[in-house]
Amino acid sequence: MSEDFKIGEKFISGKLVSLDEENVEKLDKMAKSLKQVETNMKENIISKISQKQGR
Amino acid sequence: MDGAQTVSAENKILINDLKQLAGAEESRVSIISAIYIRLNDEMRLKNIQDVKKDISYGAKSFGQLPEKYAVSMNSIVRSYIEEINKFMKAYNDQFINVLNVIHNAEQKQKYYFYKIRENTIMKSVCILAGKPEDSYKVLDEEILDYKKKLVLYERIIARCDKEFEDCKIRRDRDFKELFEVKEETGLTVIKKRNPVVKLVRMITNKFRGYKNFSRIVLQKHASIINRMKTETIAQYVKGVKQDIVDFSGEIDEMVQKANA
Repeated sequence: MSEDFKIGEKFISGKLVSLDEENVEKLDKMAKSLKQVETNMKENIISKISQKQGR
Repeated sequence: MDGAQTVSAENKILINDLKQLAGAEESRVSIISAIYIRLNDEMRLKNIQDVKKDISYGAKSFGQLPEKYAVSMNSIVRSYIEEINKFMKAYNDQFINVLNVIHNAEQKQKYYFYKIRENTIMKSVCILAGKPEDSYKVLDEEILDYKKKLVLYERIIARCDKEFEDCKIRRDRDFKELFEVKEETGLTVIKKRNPVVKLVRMITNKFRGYKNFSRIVLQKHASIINRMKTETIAQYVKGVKQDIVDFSGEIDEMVQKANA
């Protein structure tokens, strides 16, 4: 995992993170990456459901 | 594994997938919120520092000792904080409104994932029972409709993401317009004074320093605050409220379309 995402992971797991400028930038990157994760997950769910449909 | 066990296992997979999706959505929104709130605090603190710096600079220019104007400065800072809080509350309301819309849209999407899955199982049962194609045609139509709704709710989520960004941009722009400490002409003149003016200033400061400081520096802030209290903040808050109404109207239309 890149250094940038370690802060994000820490924040998400409920640990205290200093919200200084550098960390805010890292968190912003994490939020953008999570958006991509969400999109992938939704596509994955649809794909799984569609496969079942084809049976 | 028999049919029922397969369905149960597949349902568990779907539930697990939806839980993971909810986790990612929740994490993303909590990061967006943390950044938003953090910037609110940063702007508030910067303004307080700038106001204090401006008053201190003005006091120094008029040869005033800190203890002489401490009460006035604290009162000015308190007034700024009060106005900033009114301003921030309006923007926080707008932000919370967007959070609420995005949360509802995400919930709806999960509901339609589940409905697609449900119809798919019913369709499989029909096929296994050897029922004619016409008997599950309606299920296929519903699946298509649910997929269409998923896309429409995705658009609502994208609109909310844009609104988060716009909300931040508008807040930063309005805050700068309203609260950025600007140097007034009086102080600029003082800054550029030459040695002769400096000497004259030293003498006048002896007799009228506090009076001039009060008239030029403290009055400048007092009139800014007064203007904020009587008109500007209310105008900006009204503007933000209108933005909330416009955004809600736009979302209502999108939701109606999704539910049509």
